[in-house]
Amino acid sequence: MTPGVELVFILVVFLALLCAGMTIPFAILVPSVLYLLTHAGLAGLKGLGLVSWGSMDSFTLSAIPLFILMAEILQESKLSLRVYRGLSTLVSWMPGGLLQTNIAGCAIFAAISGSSVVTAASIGRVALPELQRRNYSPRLSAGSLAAGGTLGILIPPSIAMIVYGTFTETSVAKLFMAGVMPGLLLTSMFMCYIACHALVQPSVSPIVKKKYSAGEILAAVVDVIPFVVLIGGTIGSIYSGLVTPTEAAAVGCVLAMIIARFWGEFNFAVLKHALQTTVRVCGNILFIVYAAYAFSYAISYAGVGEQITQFLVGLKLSRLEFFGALFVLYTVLGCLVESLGMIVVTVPLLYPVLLQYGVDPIWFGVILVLFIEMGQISPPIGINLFVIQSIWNGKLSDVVTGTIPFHLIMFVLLGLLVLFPDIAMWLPSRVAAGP
Amino acid sequence: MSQSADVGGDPAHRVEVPSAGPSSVDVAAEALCCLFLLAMIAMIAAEAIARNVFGTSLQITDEVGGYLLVALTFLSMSVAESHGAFHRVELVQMRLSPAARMISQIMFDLMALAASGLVTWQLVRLALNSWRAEDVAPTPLATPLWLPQMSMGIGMALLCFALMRSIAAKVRYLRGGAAR
Repeated sequence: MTPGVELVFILVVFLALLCAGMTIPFAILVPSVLYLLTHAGLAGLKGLGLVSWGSMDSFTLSAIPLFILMAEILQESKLSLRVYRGLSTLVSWMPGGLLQTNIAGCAIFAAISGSSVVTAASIGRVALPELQRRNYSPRLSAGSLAAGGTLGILIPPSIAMIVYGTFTETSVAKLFMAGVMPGLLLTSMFMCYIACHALVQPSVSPIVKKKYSAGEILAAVVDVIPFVVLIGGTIGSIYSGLVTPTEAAAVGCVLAMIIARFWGEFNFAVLKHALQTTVRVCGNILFIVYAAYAFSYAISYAGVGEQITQFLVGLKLSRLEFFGALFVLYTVLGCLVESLGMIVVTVPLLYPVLLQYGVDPIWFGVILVLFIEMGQISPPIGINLFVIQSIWNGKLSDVVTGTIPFHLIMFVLLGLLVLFPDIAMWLPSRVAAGP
Repeated sequence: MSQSADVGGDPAHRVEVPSAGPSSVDVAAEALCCLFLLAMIAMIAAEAIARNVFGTSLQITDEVGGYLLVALTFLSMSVAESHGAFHRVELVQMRLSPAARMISQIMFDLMALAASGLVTWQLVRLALNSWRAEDVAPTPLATPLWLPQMSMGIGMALLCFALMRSIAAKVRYLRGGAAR
C-alpha cells in the first residue's frame, strides 16, 4: 500500500470504529497504533514514548483541567441558579422573556466554562422546568438552550481553543481574545432572532407585564455580579497580559471557590464532588488529546502529511475555492465526528495547507470553533441536542427543529467572519504581551 | 445518540453498558488526581501572585505544572474507564440487540486493550531508558526524568487493568443472559 492509501484506510477505520460505537479516545488511538504497525512493524512504535512525553508535558494544556474545575465548582455550588434568576429579572423587558434569559445565561456561563455541554446543561437544568411551567414554546425553549450552549466554546475560555492552540502552537491568549467579539455578536444575533420571533408570533412566549421594584432589580444585580467579577478577573487579566491562560484558570479556580463560599452552597463535599467530576471529565478529554498526538505522530511518521499538503497545494484552488472545500468538509464532519475529534484529526493534516494559503491561524481557529458549534447542534450526533433532550420530557425532533434557525444564524456569522475578518482579529491585535 | 468529548458532568448515556465499577486502585488514582489538581491550583496561582505582586517567580511552575498534567492525564484514564466516562457515538449501538451490543463492546475492549498494552510497553521503556541514562531535566530542579515519565507507564497499565475488568464484567453479563 502507498502511504496515501494507508492513510485513507486508517481514516476509514477511525470513522468505522467511531460510528460503530467504540469509545472516542480508543477510536483514535487504535487506528494510530495500527497504522504504525502496518507501516513499520513494532519498530514503528519506538517513538511513541518520546511523543507521549513531549506532547503531554505541557503547561498550556494544564489550563484544561483548571477551567473544567472552575465551571464545576460554580455548577455544584448552585450559582448557575442564581445567575439565571438574576438575569430573568434584568432581561424581562425584552420580547421573548425567559428565552432571552437562556441566551444571556448561556453567554455568561460560557465566559467561565470552556465547554458547550457544561453551559447547556447548567443553564438548561435551571431553565427548562421554568419554561415548561410558564408555557413557553417547547421548540424554541429547547432550541435556544441547545444553541446557546454552543457559545461555551466560542466565548473564552474554550477547551477547543486550548487544544487547537496547542496543536498549532498558536497563542491561546490571542485565540481567546479572537473569540470574544464573534461570541458577543452571535449572542446578540440569537437574542435579536428570539425578539423578532416573539414579536411576530407572540404565542411562543407568554407576555408577563410585571414591574420590578428597585429592590428586586438590585437583588438581581447582586445575583449576577459574582459572575461579572469572575469573568472580568480571568478574561481581563489575560487581555492585560498580566497572566497566561493557565494562570488565569488557576486564579479563576481560587476566585470561584471564594465566590461560591459567599454566594452559593460551597463546602468540602461540594469541592470533593467537583474535583472528582473534573478528574473523570479530564480522563476523557485529555485522553482524546493524547490519542490525537499519537494519531498526528502516526500520519507524520511516513511523511504523509507533507504529501497531502503537496497534493492539496498542487490542486491550485483559489482561496475562495479552498474555503468552499473546507466549508463542505467541516459541515459534513460536524455531522459525523464529535468536537475535539474534528480538531485533532483534521488540524495536523490541514494546518500546513492553511499556511500555504496565507490563512491566519488565529482567524482559522475561530472559524473552526464555529464549525464545531454547528456540529454540536447537527443531527445525528450533535451533543447539545442530546444534553437538552436528556434534561426535559419533550421530543428530540422538537430540539432538532428548534435549533434550525440558530444554525442558520451561525452560517450568517461564518459569512461575516469571512467577509470581515477583523470581527475576530481586532481584539487579539490589541492584547498586551503576556508573561 | 452521541457523547462528545466536550463534556462536563454526568453524560446521559442511552445505551447501558455493564461496568466493573471502580476498583480500590482506581479510587486511589482518583484521590491522587484530585490532590494533583489542588496542587496545580495552589502552585500556579501562587506563581501569578508572586510575579504580579512581588515581582518574583517560583521558577518551577512550568516544569512541575507539566509533570502534574502528565500524571493527571494518565492516572485519570483508568478512573474514566471504570466510571464509564469515555464517550461514544451510540447511533449503531442503540439499534443492536443486547447480546450483539455486548459482543461488539467486548471486541472493542479487546482492541483497546491490545493498543493500550503496546503503548504501555513503550511508555515503561521510555522511563526505564531515562533511569538507566540518568536523564535529568535541564532546570533548576534537575528532576530525574524517569520519575514523572513513570506516571505515564503506571497510568496506562492501570487503564489496561481497568479494561480487563470491564471485559470480564461484560463476559459475565453475557453468560448471565445466556443462563437466563
